[in-house]
Amino acid sequence: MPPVFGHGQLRLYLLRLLEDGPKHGYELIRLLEERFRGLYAPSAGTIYPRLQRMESEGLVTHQATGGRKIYQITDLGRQELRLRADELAALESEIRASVADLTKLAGEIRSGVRDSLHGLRQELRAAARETRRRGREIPVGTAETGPYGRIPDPGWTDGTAPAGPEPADEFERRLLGFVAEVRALTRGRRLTDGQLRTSIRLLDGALDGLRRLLR
Amino acid sequence: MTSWTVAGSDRLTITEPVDRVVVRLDYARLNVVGTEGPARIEISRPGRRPVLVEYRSGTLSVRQRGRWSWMELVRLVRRRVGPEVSIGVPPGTEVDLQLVTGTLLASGLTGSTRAEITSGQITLMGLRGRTSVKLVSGPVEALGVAGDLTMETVSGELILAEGTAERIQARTVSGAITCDLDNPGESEIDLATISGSVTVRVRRDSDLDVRLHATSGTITSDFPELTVDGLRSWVGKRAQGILGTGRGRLAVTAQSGSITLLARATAE
Repeated sequence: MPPVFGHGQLRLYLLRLLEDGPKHGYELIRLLEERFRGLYAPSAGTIYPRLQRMESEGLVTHQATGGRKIYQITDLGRQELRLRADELAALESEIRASVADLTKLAGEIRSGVRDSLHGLRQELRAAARETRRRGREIPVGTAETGPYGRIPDPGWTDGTAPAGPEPADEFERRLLGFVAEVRALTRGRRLTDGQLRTSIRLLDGALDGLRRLLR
Repeated sequence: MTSWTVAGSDRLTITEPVDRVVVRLDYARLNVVGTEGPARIEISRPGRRPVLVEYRSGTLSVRQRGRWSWMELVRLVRRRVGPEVSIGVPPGTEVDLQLVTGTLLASGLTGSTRAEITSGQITLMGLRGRTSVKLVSGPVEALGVAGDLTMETVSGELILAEGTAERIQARTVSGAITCDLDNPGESEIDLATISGSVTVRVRRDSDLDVRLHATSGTITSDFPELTVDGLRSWVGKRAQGILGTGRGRLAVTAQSGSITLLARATAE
């Protein structure tokens, strides 16, 4: 599936390009773009991690010259290309065929984009969770939440993945943040009775758990 | 002027040079792809209303003839009718597309691309030129877009992956905005939503002057360079700061949604 490469196909194609001679990352990106005439738009963020993985598997090596990494195919890489020669030929003829059938090509591009974006959504959601877990969130309305005023937030003052704030402070911050966030979620929205009842049950449940733990 | 009326599934090849494509359809699945060679059109399932293709001095236009029948209107509401039109044109072609309802794919174009859909979905892939898309209801999904990108929708999600555009403007009223950007240079990025949330990932080594403003949502950031002011909730929250040299600009506003700014690790 050419426009957005299937798993393993991009790596095969990268090997194919490196077979012609050593190249640096941007050269590879440009060659892929030329080859696929804008139907496939690889970015540095896609290419470099693959090259790194291929390097750890011994298929390519690199030489750093002038701050740039020049990648070169290894004997193991050449062997992989030979072993998968049929697959490569099939991939190339697939590329030609799909450019000939516009409707099919469009369908493939659509599903390729959908898959990529699905992956991205999950990746970013996980990254956001991680960031929040490290406590880099500014709770809404903390200033009006009482004597604590501006709550110290370690993430904003020193972003180096902190060893973690004092548990007592963290607990206090979370507690205030919890109320503030729930307020923000419900503010200005007309909630249905069902939503409210479920929310109350959730709050009771959380409180019950804490009671049991802290008594 | 040359014209074709396509009543069944058909493929046309335009031997003369095409530098502009204009499409006006009520309901369709429309694909416009930049390819080498002469301009081509594939039409399938045109239904009872023939598709009219015209070529006049460099401009290729595609329209539909006739009126909707009652049954077609019923099926239109259920989104089950309408042709699939696929157009292959040289990458630099100027493209102007309008649909009432339907889905659109634009890919591999390097010129100016404009698209307007009332309700449906837009997919953009590997565009390099000036791109402007508008929807009333429905999402925009974009992958690998460079150049200049404007996305607007009233209700619908806007999502951009592997974006290297120098200028990005994304606006939605009730949808979420998700952008993953891979361009540390002098970008101008402007994202705004009323009730959706915004998630942006930029490179760790970005050169950006960042301004985030959330009226009632939270702001979360991976960048310690940003400082927060205005914790007074009635004016909302602002976080701002300079990343790198601050040559580019990133402005995000969300009224009731939250803003998340993530750092993308740079491999090289």
